[in-house]
Amino acid sequence: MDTHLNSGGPYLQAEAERHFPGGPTVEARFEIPGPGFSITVLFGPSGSGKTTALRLLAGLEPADRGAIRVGGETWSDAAARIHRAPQARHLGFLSQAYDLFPHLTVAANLGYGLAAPERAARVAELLPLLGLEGLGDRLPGELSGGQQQRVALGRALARKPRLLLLDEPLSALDQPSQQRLRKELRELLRTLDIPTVLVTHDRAEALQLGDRLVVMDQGRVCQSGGIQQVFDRPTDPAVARILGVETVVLGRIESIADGMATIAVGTAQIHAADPGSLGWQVFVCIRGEDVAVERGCGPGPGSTVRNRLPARITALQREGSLVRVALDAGFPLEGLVTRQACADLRLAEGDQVCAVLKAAAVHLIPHD
Amino acid sequence: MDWQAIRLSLWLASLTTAALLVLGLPLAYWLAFSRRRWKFLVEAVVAMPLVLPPTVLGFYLLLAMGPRSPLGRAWESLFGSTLPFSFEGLLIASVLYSLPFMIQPLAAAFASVDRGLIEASWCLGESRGRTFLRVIAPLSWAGILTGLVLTFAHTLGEFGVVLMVGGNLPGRTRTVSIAIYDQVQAMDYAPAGRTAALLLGVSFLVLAFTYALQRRQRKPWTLT
Repeated sequence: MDTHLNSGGPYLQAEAERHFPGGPTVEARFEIPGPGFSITVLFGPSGSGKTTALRLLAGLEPADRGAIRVGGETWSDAAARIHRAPQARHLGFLSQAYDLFPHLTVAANLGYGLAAPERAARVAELLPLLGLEGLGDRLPGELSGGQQQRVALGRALARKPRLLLLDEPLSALDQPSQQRLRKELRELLRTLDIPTVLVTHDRAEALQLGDRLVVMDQGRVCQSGGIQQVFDRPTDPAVARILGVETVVLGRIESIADGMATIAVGTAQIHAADPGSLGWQVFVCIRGEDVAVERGCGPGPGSTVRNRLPARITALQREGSLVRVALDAGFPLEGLVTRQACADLRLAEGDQVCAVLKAAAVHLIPHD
Repeated sequence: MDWQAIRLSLWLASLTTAALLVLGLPLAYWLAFSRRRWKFLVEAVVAMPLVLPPTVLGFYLLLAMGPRSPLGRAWESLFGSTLPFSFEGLLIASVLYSLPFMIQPLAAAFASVDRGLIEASWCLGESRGRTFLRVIAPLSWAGILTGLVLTFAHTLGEFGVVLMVGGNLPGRTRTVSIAIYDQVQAMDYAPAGRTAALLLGVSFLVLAFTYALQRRQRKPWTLT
C-alpha cells in the first residue's frame, strides 16, 4: 500500500540541523509513526527554533547536517547532498502571516496549486467545507482575519498534501475565535486524514490539538513523545519549566451542573469550573502553587475549597525555599509548598495527607 | 519642425524600451534575489551610466564598435555594414545608456515582494519561473511601469551619447535633441522652440499619466 509500510520505518523521520553562520543551530529531530491523521505539536518559547524546524521540513531551509525522510523518500540528506525543492515535496505549508496572494481572488488562491482540469471542482468543494460560500470572488484584503485564516488553510489543503505544516495557524486571531477554531481545525484534519506538524507556543493549543508533543528550547529538541507521556514525565527541569504546569492528566467528564464540572481522573474525582463547550474528554491542568497539603482530610467546615483529595506523598524534593511534593491522589499530582510549612507539618515520604485545591484553580482543556 | 527627427526619436525610444524590458527582467530578477558576494560589482556597472559623462560612455562605445574591435568586425562580417553612425549602433548605445533606468525600478519592485508569498507559491508546487509570472510580476506592476516610462523618456531626451556614436545623419541618427541643437546653432530659434516645447509637453504628459495610473489603480492590497 504505502511505501513506508514496505520499508517498515516511521512515516516521517527527521534528524536534521540548520547552522546559521555566526548564529544558532536549530534541529528538527522527531518521528511521525503513520501516514494517517495525527497532529505533532512543536512546542516551545518564542525563539526556540520551532519555525526553522518547520521550514527544514518544507525545504525552505537547507539541512546542513542530517536527513529528513518521508513515506520512504529522502527529502533532505546533507551527507548525500540531497535537497528536494519545496515544489517536489507535495506538502501543505501555512505560515503565520497566511501569505495569501493579495492580487488573486479567494477562489484563485484556493486553486493556485491545482491543475486546470480539477481546479474548479476542487475549489467548489472547498468553499463550503471552509464556510466560505459566496466569498470566492473576493480579494483577501476584503476578508476578516478568521476568513483569511480559513482561505490559507484551504489553500494548503487543496492539493491533498502528504504532510501538512502549520505555523501558529490561529495566533493572529482573537481569543474567542481561537477557542472555536481549534476544535474545528482538529475535526477538519481528522476528516481529511493528513499527518500534520503544528507549531505553537500556546500550551492550551498544544494540549487541545496535539497527539504528539515535541518540546523545543534554544534550537534543540528536549523531548518528544505522546502528549500525555511528555506532560507526565518531563525528562528534565527545563522541559517542565517550558511546559509551565506541574500536573496535566487526561480525565473524563462525569457530569456538568450549575457551571461546575465533575471529572473522573484516575481513581479520583475532582470538581472544576466549566469553561463551556466541553466534550467528554479533557486535560486537567493544575499548577503546583495551587495545591495545598493538609494533615487531616475531613470535610472542611466553612471552607470554599471544593476538592479535598486523600493522597500519599511519593517524593519530596527541595527547590530553594520551596519543596516539590509528589502525591498519589488517585492520579499523579504535584504540589509546591514552602520549606517552613513542610517542616511544621513534618511531611515525609509515605505519609497519608490531604491535597486541597480550589475548583477555580483547575484548568480544563477539551481533548476529543 | 523636424518631423523626421521626431519620428526617429520615438522609434528609437520604443525599440530601446522593448529591448531593455527583455534584457531587464532576468537581470533585475538576478539582482533582486541573488546572494552572490560579487553582486555589488554588477550593481555598480549597471548604475554607471547615471554618473558617467555621456561623452565618456560614447567614446568607449565608439571604440568598441569600431572596425578594429571584435564587435565591429563581427558586425561587419554578419551584416556588411559598420556600427558607428548607424541606427543599429545608436540603439545599442541607447540600451546601455538607459540600463539603470529600467533595471533599478524593476529590481527594487521585485525585491519588495513579500518573501513569504514567493515561498507560499513554491510550497504549492509552482516553479521559480511560474512563481515569477504569477506572483512577482503582477505584484511589481508599478515598478515595471515606472521602468518602462523612465527608459522611454530618458532615451527620448538623450544627447551626448547620440552625438558621439550616431552623429547627425538625417533619417538615420538625427534625433530630436540633435535637431534642436542644430537649429539653435543655426540661430533658427523658432523651430527649435517648437520642437523643445513638444518634447517638454510629451515628457510631462507621459510622466503625469504614469503617476496618475499608479495612483488610480492602487488596490487595497498594495497599501498593506
